[in-house]
Amino acid sequence: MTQRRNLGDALAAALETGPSRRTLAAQREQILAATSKPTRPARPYLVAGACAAVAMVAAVWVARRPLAPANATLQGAWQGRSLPERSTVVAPAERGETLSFSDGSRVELGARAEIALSKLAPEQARLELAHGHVDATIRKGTGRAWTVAAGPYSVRVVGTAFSVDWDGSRFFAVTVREGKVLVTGNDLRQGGVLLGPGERLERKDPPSAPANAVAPPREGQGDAPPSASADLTSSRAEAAVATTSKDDFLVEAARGNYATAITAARRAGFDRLERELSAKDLLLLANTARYAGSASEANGALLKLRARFPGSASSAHAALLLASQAEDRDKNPAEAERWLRTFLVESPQGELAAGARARLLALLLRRGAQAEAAQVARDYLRLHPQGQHVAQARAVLQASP
Amino acid sequence: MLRLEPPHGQPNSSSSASGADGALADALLAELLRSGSREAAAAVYDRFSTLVNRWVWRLLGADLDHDDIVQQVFVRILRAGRRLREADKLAGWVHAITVNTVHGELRRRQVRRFFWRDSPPAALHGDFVREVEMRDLLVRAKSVIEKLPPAERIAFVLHYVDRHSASEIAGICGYSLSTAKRRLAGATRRFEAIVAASPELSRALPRLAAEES
Repeated sequence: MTQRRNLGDALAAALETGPSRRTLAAQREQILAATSKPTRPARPYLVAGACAAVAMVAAVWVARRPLAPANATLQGAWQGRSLPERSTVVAPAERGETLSFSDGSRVELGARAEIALSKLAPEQARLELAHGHVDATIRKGTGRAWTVAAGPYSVRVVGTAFSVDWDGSRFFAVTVREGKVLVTGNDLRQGGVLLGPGERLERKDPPSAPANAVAPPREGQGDAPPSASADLTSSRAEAAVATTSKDDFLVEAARGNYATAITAARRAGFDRLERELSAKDLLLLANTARYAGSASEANGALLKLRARFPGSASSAHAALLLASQAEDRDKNPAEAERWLRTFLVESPQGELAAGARARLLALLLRRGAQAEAAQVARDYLRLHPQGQHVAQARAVLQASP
Repeated sequence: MLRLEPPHGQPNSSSSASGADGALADALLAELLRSGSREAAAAVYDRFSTLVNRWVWRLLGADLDHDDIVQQVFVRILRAGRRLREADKLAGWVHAITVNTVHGELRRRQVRRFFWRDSPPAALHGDFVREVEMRDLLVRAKSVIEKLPPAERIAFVLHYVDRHSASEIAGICGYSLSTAKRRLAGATRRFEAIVAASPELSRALPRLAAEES
């Protein structure tokens, strides 16, 4: 049964889950910390004066300000001193330091971290981390492209907050808290790896980089990484290719390029991905296969997901997708009914459950199972009193003996 | 630190403080807010975090700035709490502050888009489910909804996603019923015109149900 769902219901279903528990736990601490600062009630005349002043400044600024990008030169500062372009800062061994920039961006250095401010231009800022840990919060909407280079890697800032670790030779890691960054260089795939919030990329013992890897890119070269070196040892080369393909799959699938993503998944080893991906990414793999038209791979990934993560929300969701496959593709209503019942046992409430109950009701009516249909209709009315199929459920109950 | 315990062992994260116990809890909470007590923040957060997160999540569509906006909502609640008069309307008052905060954010974005021509569209929050079908639907719908003026966008989501009637929207947003109806009609007309102009969107997005507002 393919039914056109109301857009609002579809959006409500898509947004059903809300932020994760981890996000909410962190949010509570953050909000309580932010609201614990004493606040004074606003004084109306001060507020009015401030508003008038802001309005005047804004009017002048709007009249004078050119459209993007911002053309002010970027200024760095450290311990109250101005830092010109090409300065190098080394944090002391006993504590970290904070670099602040005139556009509101901040870079916190871990103890002993060494970083060079190699370019502070209106449209581009480039920092080079010789070694250590940095935690960067880059201001959005300035039109300025930021890059943090670490050894043979470059982290290009698309969004806002992230950290970079580089021990100077063997270990590199990027963790993104907000926004997106594009990591390029050395053994990473051509075009780089895009990381979003909560994602982390690590490289241990990367292939040796050119001696001048930290130097700014040559004109016209951009941050394009060197392709995987031909003199890599074979095992390292294989590992690099495999990791790159897995990254390729995730990046392409996240972009909605399903055909390219499924090719990348096969190159990385579909079975290997089925064994190694997280529940969320395994669901992504199954859906990518579905959208790329490979039903057997989709089914395999969904069954693997249920076997590896029993009891999880993703596993229940997999049951629902297996029901769709059975009903729409395999024309096997008995199998579809079995998977719908499995889903409803594992996820009895919520927007998706309402849809699943309606589908189960239709299947039962189609095979003439009136008593079972009446039971499902009763459940529907009890659990989804505002659901789309209330009228149909009532009609089933009225028609039942 | 004082925490308002949910009645009869209900989970604390529940959005429901219903019935007499709920009213009592809200009356205590309102008193705490009016007193400006430092304990109010935790109590208010524990009572309303689920609701506020849900409202912001739906109004903005799993936005990257979700957490910042939720924080702004709670800061506003605590600041305005001293002026709260009717404890029995606490939940509605919090809802109105949430909607106003989101509206303010949308207006700021509109201004930014005006001055920064190459401003990228708002990205999805990292927690948003990676289920391809749902993500695609949301991204496509968001691309259209983001083109609506902020006030119409709020009315649109409150009606079609959160199932509020026009009179409820008027109450939440603090304007008249006729304004609510006008904004809803304008949003629906504009949304359908944008979708109709794009064959790809027409295919991808389920049709809006024709409903009485």
